Amino acid sequence: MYMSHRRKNRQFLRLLGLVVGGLLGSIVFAQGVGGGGYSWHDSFALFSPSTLSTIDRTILFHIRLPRIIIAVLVGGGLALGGAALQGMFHNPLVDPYVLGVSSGAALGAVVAMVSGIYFGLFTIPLFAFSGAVCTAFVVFRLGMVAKRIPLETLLLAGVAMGMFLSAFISLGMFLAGEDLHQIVFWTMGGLWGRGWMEVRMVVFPFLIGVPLLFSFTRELNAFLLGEKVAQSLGVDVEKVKKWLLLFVSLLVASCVAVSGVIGFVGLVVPHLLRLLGCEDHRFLLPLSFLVGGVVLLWADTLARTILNPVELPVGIVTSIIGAPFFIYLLRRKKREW
Amino acid sequence: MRRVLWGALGLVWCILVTFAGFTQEIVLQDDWGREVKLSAPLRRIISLSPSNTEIVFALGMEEFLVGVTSYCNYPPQTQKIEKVGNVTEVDVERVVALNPEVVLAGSLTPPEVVERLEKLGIPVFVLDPHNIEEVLEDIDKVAIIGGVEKRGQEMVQAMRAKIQAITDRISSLSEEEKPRVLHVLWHDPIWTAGKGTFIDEFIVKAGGVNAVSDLTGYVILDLEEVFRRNPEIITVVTSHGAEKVSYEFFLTDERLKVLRAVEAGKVFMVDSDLVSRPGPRVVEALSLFAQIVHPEIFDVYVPPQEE
Amino acid sequence: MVKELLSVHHLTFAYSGDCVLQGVDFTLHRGTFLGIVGPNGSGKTTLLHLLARLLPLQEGIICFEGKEIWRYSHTEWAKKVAIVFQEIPTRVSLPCQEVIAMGRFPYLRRFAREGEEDERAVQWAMEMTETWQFAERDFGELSGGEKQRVMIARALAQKPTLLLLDEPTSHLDVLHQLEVMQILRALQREGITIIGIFHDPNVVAQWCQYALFLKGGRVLRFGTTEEVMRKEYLAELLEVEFIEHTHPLSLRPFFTPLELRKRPSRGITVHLICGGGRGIPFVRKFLEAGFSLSVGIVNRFDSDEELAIQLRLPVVSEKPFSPFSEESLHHALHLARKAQWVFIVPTYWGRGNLLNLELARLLLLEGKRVFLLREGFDPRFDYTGGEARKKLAELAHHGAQVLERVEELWEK
Repeated sequence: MYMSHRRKNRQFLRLLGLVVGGLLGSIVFAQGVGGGGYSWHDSFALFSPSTLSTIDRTILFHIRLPRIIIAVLVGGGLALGGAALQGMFHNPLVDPYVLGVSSGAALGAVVAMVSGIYFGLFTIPLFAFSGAVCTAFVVFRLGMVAKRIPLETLLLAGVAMGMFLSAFISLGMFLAGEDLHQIVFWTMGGLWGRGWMEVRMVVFPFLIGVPLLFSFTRELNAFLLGEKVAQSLGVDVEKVKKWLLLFVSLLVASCVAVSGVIGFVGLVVPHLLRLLGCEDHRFLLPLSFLVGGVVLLWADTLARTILNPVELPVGIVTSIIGAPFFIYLLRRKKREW
Repeated sequence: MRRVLWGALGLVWCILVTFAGFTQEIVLQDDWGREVKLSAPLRRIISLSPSNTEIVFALGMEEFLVGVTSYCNYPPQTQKIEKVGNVTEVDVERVVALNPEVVLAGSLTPPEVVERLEKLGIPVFVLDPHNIEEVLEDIDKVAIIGGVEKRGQEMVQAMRAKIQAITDRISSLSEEEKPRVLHVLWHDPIWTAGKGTFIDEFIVKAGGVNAVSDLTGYVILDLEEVFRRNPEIITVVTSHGAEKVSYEFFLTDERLKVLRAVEAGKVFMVDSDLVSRPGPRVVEALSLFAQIVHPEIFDVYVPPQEE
Repeated sequence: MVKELLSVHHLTFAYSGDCVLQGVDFTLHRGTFLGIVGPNGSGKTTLLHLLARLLPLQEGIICFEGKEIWRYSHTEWAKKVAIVFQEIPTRVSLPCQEVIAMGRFPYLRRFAREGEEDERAVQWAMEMTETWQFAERDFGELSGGEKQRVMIARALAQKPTLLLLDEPTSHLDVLHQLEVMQILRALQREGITIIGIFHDPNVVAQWCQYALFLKGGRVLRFGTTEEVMRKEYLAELLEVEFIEHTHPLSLRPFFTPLELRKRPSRGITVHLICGGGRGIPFVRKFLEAGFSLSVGIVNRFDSDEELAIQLRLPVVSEKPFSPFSEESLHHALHLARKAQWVFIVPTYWGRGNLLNLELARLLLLEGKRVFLLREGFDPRFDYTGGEARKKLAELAHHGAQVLERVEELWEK
């Protein structure tokens, strides 16, 4: 009867195949969606690039394609980070921004905007990334009690830090004067205009962070039974927590640096998968990554086309769709999660 | 005895002034459709927007200006005048303390501030023009308020003449000869000015076509659209002359090199203050656009050199 | 192989200055079942957590198989020692076999898949705990007892030498508690050493081989259950008086806590003349009303006598089924003189215990106040052909007070 374990694996592989297929389909579809609606020609233009005009080629390969990739990566990164932290803390309300990464990144971006420091197009992402990483580090240190990291103190430290930094963001907005729009646009969260430069910026943290997070699935499963049980199973609990927080923060910081603050993907996607019965982190983490990518890709495709040629901030789209969906999930309350 | 004498003198002066037509009760409609009762000429004026300040200065009424906003930077003499806040946050107490006879509010003045000042017995006149014609009307109204009607009429006439001169010269152009112009306020995201904005009017009056004339107001444009529309000219706003980030974006981003405007070196930096203020410098802004859009007709636009 | 599996030397532990354990010493052999008993806050859980390496050592040494426990690596240790906690994990909705398979964590390298040995271990764990029947079911849907069995199976999948349990049965009903204890006994037979905290001393008395009494962070008693599980030691440990019985089947002792509503003492001692189990309700009534008691004469193994012994009341007893002797009368007289009042319980009278009425008469003559109940004159109690009733009437005649109800005494 223990053989059914293998059956479970097969089931998962089938599901994984389905989601990968869905992701590829979504990418191909999104690649075809542009100003005038859907064009199958655009979807498959990758195979006949020579027939395109320079402008079309730029649109398809240097604007749309990298943006799709960024959407998939950012969505995947946020959902993966959320899934890992929710599992680690065994708490469904944890999102990947617990360490104050979002407000830290926002403050970094605001500092760059208000101070007028500028040394190239990557100035703001770099400032945002640094802000996020510094904040995560400070919150981490504040949340640590006697070399341990209890969830409550960490969450409270994150909230307090977020409020503290928000005050500075507000101050920055006040001082920004006629540059206020920059800050407003940034904090709305958007993938507008993202190109290969941003892909190059995030690809390294992803190549490192994603496999490392995947390697912690068994520990995360052990965390499901409580920290004490995990420790008795031979998990070095505090060390694992530190590593997970580090990897998640780096991953999420790089997401935020290129996308601004995009809400709900990191919270809702893992939650949804758990409700669908996927609690085993060996399955949950890869699925979260893929589904997160699909979700943000669709949200972003919607954001750039629904009011075409006008564009919406994708952060607004995810929140408008994500928040009611989250409430719906809460109301269903089928499980205690 | 002396007090009586002074009192009598005062009375006589008042009568003289009244009958000589020095002050008169007037009722003017402002840009929010409010009927404002004023006794012109008014000698203590507070301006709550940079464009209002520019109008007051242009009419030579600067000596009456007792308060301005921190955004008011043109002409440079405004620096010496007391600040009563920025455009959206007004220190009402400071305004009251300055004892103004009229407050000239702007499009961004919060309505609550207007209401509070009115309740405190301070007349508020709102200048919120939506096109060049309304700017000219507003200049007239401010001139009436300041009792310099004549000067106002002359100024407006001169402005009309300049505008006419520009529109006359482009009136013979066919649609094909009008280049498409994209005006960019910010690059991340691409923030542009559609119909109903001053920018749109500048572009059209300067003999161009607004590349986003199908949209209304200030809108975020999908970057793909910039390529799809591929305008001949791109104007990029700089704020305060220091922030050139958006301009740099158009010059350095590899992807944008295939755009017609970028290829032809037709990306222009324009001063945000100049093109965004509905004041006496609208004519200057219009000529700037004229030079950018039709350098073959007007003088070639030479961007101001950096210090 | 070292004979001692576990040895604890002078273990001392404090949480931010508050000493929780002080100088705990004990050793345990392979294949034994140790029960730890102690009042709340006695340091039981701390001790268990120290043994499980869930807390760092502060002072003292714990050796496992002759090696200091902290010298094992995390995974080595998890292969040797498993622990089951009192709290059952909530919000887990995995198939039970996945939960049990988590016990294989220390055996698996990162990214490695479960092999045949892992499957065998899981299978064995499921068989031992009879959890195979819900292997595929969702852990969250099981009952508390079933969940605890799964958690034990998870610990067993670690293939531990030593199994630690922190009050594993405290949330369970009697049936599930029994199931768990039976599993533990079976495991012990398999050679697994078990240390468990149980707050019910009867569980330890019933199931464990060794018992360790912990109080105030110190070891009060440690030894085989036969040596240690005695009511006086338990009273000392838990500060509750117990009545000790013998389990009719296992013949192991079991203990019932005495429930007494303590009243302020009246400073009056009553000597109770009783027998035949008729005294039991009166003993309770007098004690609850705040009187002190002495009892006699009663026959050995009369339930009145047994109760008096359990309650450690002064008692004069006669050999079983024997008529009272002059000697006993002498002793009883001696005892009853210390009392202020004498109360004659309405009991059965036969030739054997008539001497008790003589006792009462003598005490009455000595000036003691003697009380009896009206119902005591009931002829059904009299197996002496009226002699007992005559003596009772005589007593009443000489000044013994006849009451309708015993509660009338409370007012005096």
